[in-house]
Amino acid sequence: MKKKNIVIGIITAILLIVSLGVLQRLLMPKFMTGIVEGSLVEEYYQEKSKHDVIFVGDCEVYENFSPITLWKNYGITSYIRGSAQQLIWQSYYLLEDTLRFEKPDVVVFNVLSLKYDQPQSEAYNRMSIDGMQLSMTKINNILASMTPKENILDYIFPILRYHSRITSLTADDFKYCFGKDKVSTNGYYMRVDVKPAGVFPTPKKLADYSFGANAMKYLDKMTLLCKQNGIKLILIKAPCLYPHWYKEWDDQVKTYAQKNNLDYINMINLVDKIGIDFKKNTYDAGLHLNLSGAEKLADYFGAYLVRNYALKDHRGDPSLDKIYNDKTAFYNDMKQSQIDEIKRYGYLKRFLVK
Amino acid sequence: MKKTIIALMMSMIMLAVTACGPAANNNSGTKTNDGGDGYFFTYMGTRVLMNEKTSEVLTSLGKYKNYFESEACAYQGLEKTYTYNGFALYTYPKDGVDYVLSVVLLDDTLSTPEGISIGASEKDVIAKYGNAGVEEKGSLKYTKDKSTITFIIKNNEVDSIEYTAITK
Repeated sequence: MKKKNIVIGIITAILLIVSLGVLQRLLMPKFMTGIVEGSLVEEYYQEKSKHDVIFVGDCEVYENFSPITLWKNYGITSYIRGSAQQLIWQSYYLLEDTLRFEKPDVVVFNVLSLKYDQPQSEAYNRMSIDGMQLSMTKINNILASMTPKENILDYIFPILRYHSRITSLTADDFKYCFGKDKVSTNGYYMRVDVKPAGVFPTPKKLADYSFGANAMKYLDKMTLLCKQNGIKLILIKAPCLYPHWYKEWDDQVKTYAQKNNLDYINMINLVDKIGIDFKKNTYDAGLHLNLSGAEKLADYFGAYLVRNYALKDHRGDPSLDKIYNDKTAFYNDMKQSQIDEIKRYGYLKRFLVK
Repeated sequence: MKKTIIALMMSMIMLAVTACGPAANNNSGTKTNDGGDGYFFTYMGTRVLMNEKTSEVLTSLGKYKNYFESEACAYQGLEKTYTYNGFALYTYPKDGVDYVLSVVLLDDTLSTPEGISIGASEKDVIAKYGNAGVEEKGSLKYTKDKSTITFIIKNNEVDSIEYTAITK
């Protein structure tokens, strides 16, 4: 009788854990339509091959570089581990997470997030952290990222945070409970629409232009992590016209790069050379590039990587050719479907936030 | 025994489902508070208070020189900037409504109701606003209710004036 009770107890515990697991999957936001950026971080774990180049950073990486162009034109394999308003400690931990699976030749970090020295927003934290696989790296990321009102347990057991969604579940929550569609190509968020850049507000003057100590600490950690792993770190500022990138910020990054023997490319200064036309190559008036802009930028950057970092051209490698043929087909299909959607509705309905 | 196990399972599920924490969704973000009688800026007889509904202020302020909107990453709201002669008004969205986030004076053609404009001396600021200002890296910051006014001081002169809503 006692043995029977133990067996029943174990089975009950297993059923309970499985039920809670299923419930948690159901309740977590799916980010399949509207704000699809919330799905970017977790897609990395589906990758089947390693990468020469890993990008880390905010929207200025995941919206501005086309990994397919890097492959098509230079045979460079790359992945963008980007997320919305990714703060520098999140970039650091996402890089550390990536190194659990592969060691790239080059890591590219977009420096805009240096302007933030402290955690900013739970909504953005969630989009950068929830998709990570559970590890000490994820836990350290949570600890570094939490705003004062947040709780680590809510991240480790998201059901504690998302339980109230039980009354507002949508069809997507059921449809994508056990498997989600891909929303990116190697972390790249595609937009084919066009919204020309206009007039920007006068940049606000700042009392202090110095980057915060916490942000700089994580830049040091990223530099050290790359050095320890024999990885070349490149600092970039993507060619976005807004938010304003102050000269004082630029000077600090230049000084840091010189001191640490790193390359720093401020691409805002290279807009003409890259061939970006902000009347045609942006989908949101100059904040981010659209597909045509991202392809131009990737083409420019790919040539730079080949010239300065002697990356191998992998085209002709049968296994990579197959993988990238599939990725290219997905990319082209997404491009065509967005073009069709614009023809039909006049805008990209899929990104409409309800 | 079975009843005990079922009760245990149900209570654990209920515990998980009703556990602490406010609602979270795709758009969970900054929480804001309305109103307050903090520092205000006046333009052509219109009083602009931080955290007040933008629609009401805009009607009174009249035609702006330039309008700019930027969609925050992953659509966490539309940030709007209205530029008028001598100042810019920034907004923040909350539950589909825009509120005044900040007002920045752009030149010395306008002044605060207390009479401080860009180019005034630091002494003038302290004379008008008192000694309670917090000195922060080249700036003097005063807080009142749910608003702040910050004077950036350069070479002992006011270089910038910004009203900001306290939204947390």
